[in-house]
Amino acid sequence: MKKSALPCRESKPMEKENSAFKPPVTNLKRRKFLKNSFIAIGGLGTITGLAVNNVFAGEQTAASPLKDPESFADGSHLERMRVELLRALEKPVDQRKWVMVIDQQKCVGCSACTVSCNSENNLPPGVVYRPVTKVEVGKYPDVSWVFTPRPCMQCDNPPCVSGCPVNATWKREDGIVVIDYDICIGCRNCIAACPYNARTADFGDFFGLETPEIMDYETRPNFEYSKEWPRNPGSHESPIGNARKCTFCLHRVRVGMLPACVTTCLGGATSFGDYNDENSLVHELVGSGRAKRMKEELGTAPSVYYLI
Amino acid sequence: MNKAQKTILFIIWLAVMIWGLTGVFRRLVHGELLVNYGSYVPWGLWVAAKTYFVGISVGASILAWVVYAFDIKQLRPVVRPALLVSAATMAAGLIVISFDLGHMWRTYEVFTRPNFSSMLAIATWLSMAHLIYVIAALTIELKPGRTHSSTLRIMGWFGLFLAVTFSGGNGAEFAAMISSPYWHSSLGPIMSIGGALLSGVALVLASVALFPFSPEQDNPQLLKILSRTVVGLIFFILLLEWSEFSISMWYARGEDYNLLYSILFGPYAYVFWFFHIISGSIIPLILLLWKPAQRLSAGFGGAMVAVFYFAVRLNHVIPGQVTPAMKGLQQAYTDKWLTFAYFPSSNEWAVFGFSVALSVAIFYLGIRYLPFSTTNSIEERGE
Ligand code: SF4
Ligand code: SF4
Repeated sequence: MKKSALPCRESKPMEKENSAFKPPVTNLKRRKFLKNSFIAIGGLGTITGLAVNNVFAGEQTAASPLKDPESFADGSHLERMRVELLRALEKPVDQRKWVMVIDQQKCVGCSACTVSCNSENNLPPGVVYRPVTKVEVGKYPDVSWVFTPRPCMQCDNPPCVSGCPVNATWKREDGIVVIDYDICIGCRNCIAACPYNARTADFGDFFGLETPEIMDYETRPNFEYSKEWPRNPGSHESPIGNARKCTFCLHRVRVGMLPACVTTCLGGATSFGDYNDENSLVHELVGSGRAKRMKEELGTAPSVYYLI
Repeated sequence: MNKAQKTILFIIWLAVMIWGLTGVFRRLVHGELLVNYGSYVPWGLWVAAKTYFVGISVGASILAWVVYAFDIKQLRPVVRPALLVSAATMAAGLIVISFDLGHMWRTYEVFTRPNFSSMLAIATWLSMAHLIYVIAALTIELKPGRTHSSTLRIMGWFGLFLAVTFSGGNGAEFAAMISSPYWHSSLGPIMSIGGALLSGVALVLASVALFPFSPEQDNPQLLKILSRTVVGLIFFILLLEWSEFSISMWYARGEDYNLLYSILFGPYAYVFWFFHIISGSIIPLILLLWKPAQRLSAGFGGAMVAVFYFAVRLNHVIPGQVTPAMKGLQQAYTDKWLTFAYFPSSNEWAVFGFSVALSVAIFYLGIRYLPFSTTNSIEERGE
């Protein structure tokens, strides 16, 4: 992919993967300390009710947060991915290649991923990152549903990026396609250019706009790109007016948490990890012979694989 | 035009302007909350309007550049109205597209941090170059007899190059997108240039025939040449459309078939048949072939072609977005913004009305107050 010179990118917090957001060695030690503390508290029988407002809060949604991730050998899908994620974060950002694999035979079409994504990113009306399509196939009595969750494909050759007139969107070295909300002019060229309808626009709407009160949760900031993005009615500030898209929960991933959709998937249908890690689950699944990519013929080279 | 006619036209203009200003005010206060385009049809009326105005601007300027480049004395009187039409419609195009941006105050970034692999960025740069060039030519027109004809000839050739590149770029903005098989056509840039020429020359014909501002423009021979040009261009556009539709639909299958079928026979078929074919092609053809040199007939024929060419722009921009990328997406997650159906909101129409009224005002003020010499001719320019 063509890399255009963008000096401003270097100074973005999201790019400092190996400094401020590097979780490996020291963070793991801190984790162990915190986890030991949790175990102590857990001994008092209070752990399950704790709402911890720090980077570990999200991890509590994953299975068995009290165990040392490095010690897992029980084959747990989520724990394996989490260990692999931490392992990948120890590498420089340009040596990681984030990939998502969605097993359509396991997907039950519950849309839990859509809901958790909306909640994680505090998405307003008009913006959706991961809808799940439900298509009926066959004829009675041989009828079934095909469920297709559709995140951003994080294309290796993304048409959305080439068309942006102001270089507000680009592909990171680890494969995630991002948008700088402070630069985006809201022309929606990228939305028109995406062959997967994976980008949506923030028009400044609120679910409670035509009701007596806009609820507090709607105006709370989201934390995309590891920054606070508040949205207020009547405001024209970003992310209002911008194109928006799934980032594989980059803000979670960089601190060692799996994307929200992965942790909440009921059927265990969504896998996430570093494709450059030969021992990773995603590497295994992509090589299973069942993996297909959507609209491969367009040459966009998606980073999302479907097991059909 | 008598006083009563002028008053009626002024009242209509004023009404449209006031309505348009309310739309602009609401757009500035409420942002994009009052629009009907959305996340699945991200480009609506305003983008279609931009392509329409920009097309007219380029087409009208091409007429002027051809006269300069080939030193066509007979058509010399159309240069000034052509340049004025070009400047006025370009201004309208830039205004209307700025309201389409989620962050209109950041437009300058296209110039400060451009991505030149983006057709949109290229087209924006070319649009600025085009506007500056047209204004430069208008300035020359204000100083009759000061510019040598060889300079004008060079200006004409360079203007032609710029206009054709710009217009082709506008077409390529859509045609280069792989997301929509309907847009992704190599005919796109050609259609864009052809459409620009047709709508631009037709509007110049209308302005020269209905509102001549110098005695030289009141010339049946001149009207005849312009009318014939417009007739030829109508046939050219219809030929391109026939090629596009027949190739894609002949065997009644293929990716584009359903979409093109719905353009021809779907709920918005009237846009194609009534606005484009009947009002924008057949009636003008009758008028322009019947009395090509008569002011009313040529004027209305030209005006109808120019006005109803908007139907072609709409039919290009909107249908390219109404097919979901994957089956079932339209039902997967729904709200007002996540729909593949689109009809412009009243506020979108109002802002469009504002841009029309603005371009009319610029044109009128131009012919009324710019000190064009009425007797200026190419001979007086130092030949
Ligand atoms: S799926 Fe669409 S938005 Fe995502 S990277 Fe590919 S082209 Fe861009
Ligand atoms: S909407 Fe924003 S990110 Fe998308 S192409 Fe326009 S400026 Fe770039």
